[in-house]
Amino acid sequence: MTDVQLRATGIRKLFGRFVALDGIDLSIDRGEFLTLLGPSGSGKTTFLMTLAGFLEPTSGHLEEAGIDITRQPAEVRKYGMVFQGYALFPHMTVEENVAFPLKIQKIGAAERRQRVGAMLTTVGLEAHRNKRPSQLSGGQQQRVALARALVFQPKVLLLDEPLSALDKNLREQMQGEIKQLHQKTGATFVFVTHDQTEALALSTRIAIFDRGRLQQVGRPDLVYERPVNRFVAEFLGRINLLPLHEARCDGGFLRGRFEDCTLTAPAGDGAGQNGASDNSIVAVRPEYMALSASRPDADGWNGVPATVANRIYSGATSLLELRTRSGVELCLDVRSADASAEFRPGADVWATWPVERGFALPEKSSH
Amino acid sequence: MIWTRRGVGYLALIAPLPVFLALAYGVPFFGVAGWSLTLPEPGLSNYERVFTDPIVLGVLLRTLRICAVVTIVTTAAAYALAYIWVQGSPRQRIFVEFCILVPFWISTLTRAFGWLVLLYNRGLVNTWLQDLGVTTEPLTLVRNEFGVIVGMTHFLIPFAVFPIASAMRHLDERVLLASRGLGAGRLRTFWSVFLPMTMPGILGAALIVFVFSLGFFITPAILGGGRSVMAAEFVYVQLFQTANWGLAAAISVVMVAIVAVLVTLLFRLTRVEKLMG
Repeated sequence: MTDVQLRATGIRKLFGRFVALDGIDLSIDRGEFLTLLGPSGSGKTTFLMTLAGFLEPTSGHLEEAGIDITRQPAEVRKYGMVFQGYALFPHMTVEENVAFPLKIQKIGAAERRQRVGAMLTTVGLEAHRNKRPSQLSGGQQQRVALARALVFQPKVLLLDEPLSALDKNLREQMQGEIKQLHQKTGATFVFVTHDQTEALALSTRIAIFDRGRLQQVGRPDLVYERPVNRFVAEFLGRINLLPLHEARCDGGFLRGRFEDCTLTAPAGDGAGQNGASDNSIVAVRPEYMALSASRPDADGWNGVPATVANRIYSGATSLLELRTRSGVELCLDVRSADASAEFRPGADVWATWPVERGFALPEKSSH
Repeated sequence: MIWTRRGVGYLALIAPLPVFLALAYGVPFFGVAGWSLTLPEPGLSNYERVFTDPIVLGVLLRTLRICAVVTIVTTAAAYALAYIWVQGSPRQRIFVEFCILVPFWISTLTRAFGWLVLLYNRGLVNTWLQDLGVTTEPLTLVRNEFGVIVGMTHFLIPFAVFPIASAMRHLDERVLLASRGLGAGRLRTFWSVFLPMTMPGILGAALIVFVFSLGFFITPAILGGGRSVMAAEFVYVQLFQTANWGLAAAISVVMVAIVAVLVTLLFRLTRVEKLMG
């Protein structure tokens, strides 16, 4: 049973003639970790700023627990907010920064001290309480920003690319901490990022934006394994796309010719009836492809002949780049310990994958 | 290292400025300091007079008082202007730019006489006030400290706008959003975040205005009408009317010392501010 906390209906935002958001419908459940993912300029930050109350949508509305809050200013909504670049108050100490929202709410000095102390302990900064933000490292500043945004126990925490300024190791560590804070506080987290690995690792659901439109919303494994269009498929990671001739839908499967081979893939939710199909591309993630020296003869496998063009060794795995006869480029990840990693550039091979690991996509992105 | 060929080249490039400053400021200053200790006879008698003569002390105190008021009024007005300049709509920005730049094109003398026309007993302001029945007698708006303060403030506002506007421009907009997101309204955000974060600009502007105003000559001479004599005018009188060069020199040295102390103090303050930022 889901409990909708925020519901956006038909949110449109224009900046002059530029359409930043083009009819966003999205429900955010209480306590979920929703990531808004997309390239820069896709509208994800604009949508977050609309949720926060810093931007008023040109049309459409926003509800919190059934109450219209479209025109409510940010200071009334009181969602915690963490910014890229932290936005700490430089003229206040760590302790004063964290105490700021409690002071605004006129919470007494004793309780304030106790709550600030508890929050600083949670983020591991009690030793730095009297320092100024400029005396802290990037990771520490980010923890202060999180503490400040969570200390007044907001119902919703909005995070705008909070980790993009940190280096890789620290970023991974902070991802873990943010996930723990989410579990500990039970607040609804809405997190903006352009980094798909971050989105996949953190979220309970991902909402993918492109050019002001919501492309797909769903669990990380579903959007990764069953993207609804090429944009989502390509944005979430490397993908092999094989265009089919005479593609037909038949018993829940898409079938068609690629070069001299017949390929089959599950038709997906979109395709209902048998017959001609809008979908005409078979997509396969590189990690589900395997190599063999001969044509696969087992049932339920697809195979495409190709030549090894390049091999990039990266420790545990190797990336192999292949080219089919008609020049379609394929890539696949293999474990460096496997026999298939032994194929050298120039070798003729078969790229194979189980039918159920592929999926059907329409030719064009749905714009 | 400085004596490599390249180092000598760079030195030659920057040398004219320090040499010019030394000749145009250093030499005359030591000359003046010399007069203060030797005219009319060697000794500290001129300095003794500066700190004991009620007339001289009165002039110095009046100068400091007028400058303090001018500094406060100018900085406050410039802060409001700079705020509109940085945060306002495009039309408001153009209006503020106009207000800041136009005074730069008009000479000090013209502006002082302009204020005289507006403020003297039968000037525009008094005529209107009496025509409207607000006052029956003309108000004394010039030939006193009020007139001097009005004229000086008007002259100095543009100089104060620039450092304040620069501080406002460098402020990260997201800090203000963060404050509002944490529940602080616009007014609270202004007092708790915007004002303290632009404080270095305010201090810088106040310093510039104060130092400038200490040496004002034309504006107080015209709008003070010989009654609200400030230090610069007093020095002029001592030099060219009573031929009291030693005293004039001593007052000048004391003024330079006051400015030096203030500048040092303010640099300390702003460095502390930078540590905070």
